[in-house]
Amino acid sequence: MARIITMQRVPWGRAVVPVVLAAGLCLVANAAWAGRPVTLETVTQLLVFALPVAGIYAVSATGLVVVHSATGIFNFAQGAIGMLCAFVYWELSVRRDLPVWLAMVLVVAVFAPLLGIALDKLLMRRLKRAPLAAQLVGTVGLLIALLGLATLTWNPNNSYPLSPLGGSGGIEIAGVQLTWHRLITITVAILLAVAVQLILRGTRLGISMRAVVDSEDTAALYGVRPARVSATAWVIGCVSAALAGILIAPEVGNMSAETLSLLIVNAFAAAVFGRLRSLSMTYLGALLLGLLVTFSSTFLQFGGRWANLPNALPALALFAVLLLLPQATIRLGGAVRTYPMERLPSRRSVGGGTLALALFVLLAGLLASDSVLGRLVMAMSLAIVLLGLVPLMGWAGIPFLAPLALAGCGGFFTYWAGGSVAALLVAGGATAVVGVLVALPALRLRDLYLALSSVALALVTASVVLTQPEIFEQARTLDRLSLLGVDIGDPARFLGYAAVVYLLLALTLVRLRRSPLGRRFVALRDSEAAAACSGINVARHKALVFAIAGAVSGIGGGVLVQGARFASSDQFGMIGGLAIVLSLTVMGVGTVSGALAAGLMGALLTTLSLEWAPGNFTHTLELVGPALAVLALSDHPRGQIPMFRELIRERPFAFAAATTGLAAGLAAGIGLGLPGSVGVVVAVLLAWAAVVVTAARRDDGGRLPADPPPGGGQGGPADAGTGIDTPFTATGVAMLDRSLGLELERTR
Amino acid sequence: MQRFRIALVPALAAVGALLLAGCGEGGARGDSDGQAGTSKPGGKSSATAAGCDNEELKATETGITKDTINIHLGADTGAQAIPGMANGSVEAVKAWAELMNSEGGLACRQVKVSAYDTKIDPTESRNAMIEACQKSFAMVGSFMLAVADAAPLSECADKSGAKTGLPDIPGTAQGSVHACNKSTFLPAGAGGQPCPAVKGQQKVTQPLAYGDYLQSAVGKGANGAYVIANTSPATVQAIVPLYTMLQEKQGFTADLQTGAKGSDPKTHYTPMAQTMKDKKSKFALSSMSFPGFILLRQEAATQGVNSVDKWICQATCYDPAFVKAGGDLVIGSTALITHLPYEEKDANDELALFTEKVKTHNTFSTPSWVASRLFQKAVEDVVAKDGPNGLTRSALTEALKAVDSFDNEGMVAKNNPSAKIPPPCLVAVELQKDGSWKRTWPEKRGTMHCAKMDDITLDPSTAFKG
Repeated sequence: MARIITMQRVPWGRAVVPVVLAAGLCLVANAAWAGRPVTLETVTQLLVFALPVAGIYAVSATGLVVVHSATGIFNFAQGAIGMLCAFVYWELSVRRDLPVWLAMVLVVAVFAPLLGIALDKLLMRRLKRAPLAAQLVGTVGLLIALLGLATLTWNPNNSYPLSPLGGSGGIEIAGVQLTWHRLITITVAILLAVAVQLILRGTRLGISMRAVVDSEDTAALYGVRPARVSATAWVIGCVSAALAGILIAPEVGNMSAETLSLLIVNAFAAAVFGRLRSLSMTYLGALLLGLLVTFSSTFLQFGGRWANLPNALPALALFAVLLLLPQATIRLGGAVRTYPMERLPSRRSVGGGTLALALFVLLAGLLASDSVLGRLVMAMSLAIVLLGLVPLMGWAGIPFLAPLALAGCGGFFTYWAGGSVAALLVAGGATAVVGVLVALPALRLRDLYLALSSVALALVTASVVLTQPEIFEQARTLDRLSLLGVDIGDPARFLGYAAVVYLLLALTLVRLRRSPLGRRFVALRDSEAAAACSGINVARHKALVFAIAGAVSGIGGGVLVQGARFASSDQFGMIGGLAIVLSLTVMGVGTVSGALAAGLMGALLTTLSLEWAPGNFTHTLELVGPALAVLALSDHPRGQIPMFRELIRERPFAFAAATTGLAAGLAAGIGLGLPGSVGVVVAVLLAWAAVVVTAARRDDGGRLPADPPPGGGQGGPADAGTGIDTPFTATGVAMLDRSLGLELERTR
Repeated sequence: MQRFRIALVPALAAVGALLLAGCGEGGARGDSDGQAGTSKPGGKSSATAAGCDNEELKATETGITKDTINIHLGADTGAQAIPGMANGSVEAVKAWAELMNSEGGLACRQVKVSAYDTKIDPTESRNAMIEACQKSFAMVGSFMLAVADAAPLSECADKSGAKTGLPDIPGTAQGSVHACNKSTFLPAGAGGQPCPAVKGQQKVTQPLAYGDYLQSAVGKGANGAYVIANTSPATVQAIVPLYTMLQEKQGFTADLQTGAKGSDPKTHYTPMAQTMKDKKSKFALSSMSFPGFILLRQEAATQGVNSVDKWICQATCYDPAFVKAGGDLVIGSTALITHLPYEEKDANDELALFTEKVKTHNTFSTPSWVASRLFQKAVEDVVAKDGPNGLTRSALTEALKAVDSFDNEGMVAKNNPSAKIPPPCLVAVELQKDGSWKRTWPEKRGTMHCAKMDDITLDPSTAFKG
């Protein structure tokens, strides 16, 4: 029989990216060569330098991979959990003087598992059902909360020396001392990988974990107990984090909580290299990353405009790894929706909101001090930046965690165009182009990988792009703003100007949402496959929504630098961007008012802590507030604003009671002359009590119910009166979805 | 925001050694090369307390009533990453105010201090200036690392509406935006960059005293390692001129010149230590904050670096927290400071008064106390000329401009607060086994080594390669 020879197409396209990257690396190395000779000794030394670095990345990345494999959640707070465990270890082994082995057992075998169980029960199990963006920013909120907790408990101004394990000494290779502690780190990393791999692949527990991630309902049908599996997964994750934290802490200056928590970001590239499921590939990725970083510090010398490039190497590596990943395929299957849609705002509510904002700005201009006005200007600027994320994240469902990168570009273009009001148009247009460029990875990346690429973008923009001499290497000063000859540099007038810009953009977005284009964006979020089948050009619409996001956020960046009258790279950092995305997601990522509420929240907290209620209470609130935000997020993944709208609609009197409670508490505090912090406590408690009472009387507590309520609630599934005689509630929507056969799929 | 907080603390380390007033005589160019500084005994009390009974006091300016003089200071005390960082500044200014009030007040009025937490945030730093302009007579003793805009200071209107600027006497001024502000006066000097700031090639004035120290400590033309806090372009550009001066004009060659930031783990220092070992470096000079310096020393010890005679840290190491964090390993480290060591309080009454009144002695409290004393002197000069009702912002500004030499009774090196160049004098102190610091250079107690200033031409943004 003749052999049929099939010709396989050579995937030249997939080879282009790695070839281009390799060529780029060679060019950079050639240009930045420090002159150190390449000999057998120096190359061996390079490997020896790289091993401990790789060990740190590997042990950090293991926790990420373990948690993601076992729970489906990418945990930004993995490093922060390790940090907390490291401080507890210090507390036991140094301050309480317990033997090292005992302290380690107590932390790794007692504290970390208990922490894992608590996190799972209180937070993660609820976040699991939330959309990807809510999950990601939820873990960011946890990171910030744990940092705050550590800061409150262990004053960063004090010293926390931690001796390395194994004492001094080690083995010498090519003249380089590899300490016992580093050898232990590498060994533990390998053993941990082997142990976790055995658990995940070779035990019923591991298979159950993977089954639960794929489909919790199906796994439950086979006798798996999802709650227990989830708790076990988080126990393993926290134990990994504890080991990583204890091993890394002696390598970090004075056990800085922030450094320990954020070192994990450098390990993202290694975790992604292993596709967040293969530990062996993760370790290979860690080794390659370690080699890259060490090669740079050993053989290369960056100066001038590229002085910050070595700092950005892990982020650039993350970009490269994401680009090299195989292209994501369109997910087939039924429509996917994990949360109810926000109602479109009615004309009446839009008008009411506009009036309310105008009144607020007017009152603020008349009554507030200049420093409060300054904060409100900043809040309004950030609100405009966040408006850009509403179509991107809220409607199109594209997770994007780098709003300040876009804002930074807009800020630069505004400065470059002269800083005037008209310069905002230039900023919007130019940043829209930047948005389209940023969209290119989005065309081939999806979900988590897309979110991580935006994190890499944020890091690279802040440390390399914005620090260029032509951009913001030096802080730039802007002149006072004037409009048609009228000076609007005064804080009150500028606030009015910023509010007008916000309103114009918000109203434009509302109109867009109502248009066919807006509905097409939402179709992308619900199901790209269905959208493609309906004739929607997915790539073009993604590019368009990125362009819109770029334009709006760019204008926001322009307003920000106009209001501050200076522009510097420090205004557009990655962590700040994550924090405001957290605020937006808590408030309502799909609503334009969510962006405003998110911006104002920061101004409110700062004013409380500095002026209205200075003291320990508000300081604590500032630090652990993100934890409360994360809890709110897990209950209402689409945000507080839609929840409040439903509340006002369904229980107007209860909402009025809550608002009155808050106002009464504040008035009582002021009227009775109570110290600021006491007044705030009273107000918050009264409002909280009112909200609790109100929420307890709601049908669904804000979540989609698993079963129809007894008695039908809103009538039977085919009740023709539903939606006509009685308005829809979340319960009714859920029932209709079930009767229409729309699956509710757990978000990965 | 976050990165400001870590980025600019090392800039403090870089400029901190240059901050406190040198003993250069007559300001811009010290003409005493290699001479010891002087210290006179005698702290001082307010010179305006007497003679207040016959005065009918008036509210002559914003922030001044017939009973009080209000001053503001912005201090980075509430940043989330480093809470309480500049607490020493607040403590020092408040202690000075208490001292004034206990002695009858200043210009016949009680001094009231308002501290504004600027959180290492440029917006809050700006807000501090705005609030100070509206409510206070002057800003005194501020410690704000994140000033990106000083317009609220220069455009501040006085009571009559004239934009005279808000007199500002900070403990430190990071970067040219703040330092070059026309109403800012720096008793501790500035970085030496030209004002207004220029880009590209520029002439930067630097003291030669550092080279003199290295010559005495490790010998002329010694080779060493230069480690720069590389957390932002500002922190790099703050120190590169000095290091370039040492290498190009004073002959101290660089075995390596490299950057490190606060978040780098110890493994980042392994290649540095290896290079120092291979090239037998004689000294290591660091502009990092002390956690990074400790990591460098730890890694060097691990890798067996034993050729280094002097491990030199800048002023932020001269702090009890450094001693606690570093342990035995950092014994023998040298800190270069521009004021008399706290251990020599018996040699200088003003220093003794400072150490008595202020509990915290570090690179935050010391310059803020000195700033307060400069403010006091300027106010007293105005009162001496025009009486207690002659106090206005413009009068204070003129009085500050007229001070061309200030050493706070010998506690710090003499410097011209308007000149905005680094102080030309140094003291080297070494950490002892018992955790105390001992002066090693110059040897005589109560003195500082003062040298000439010189200019170096470079582009700070491209001069660093590391």
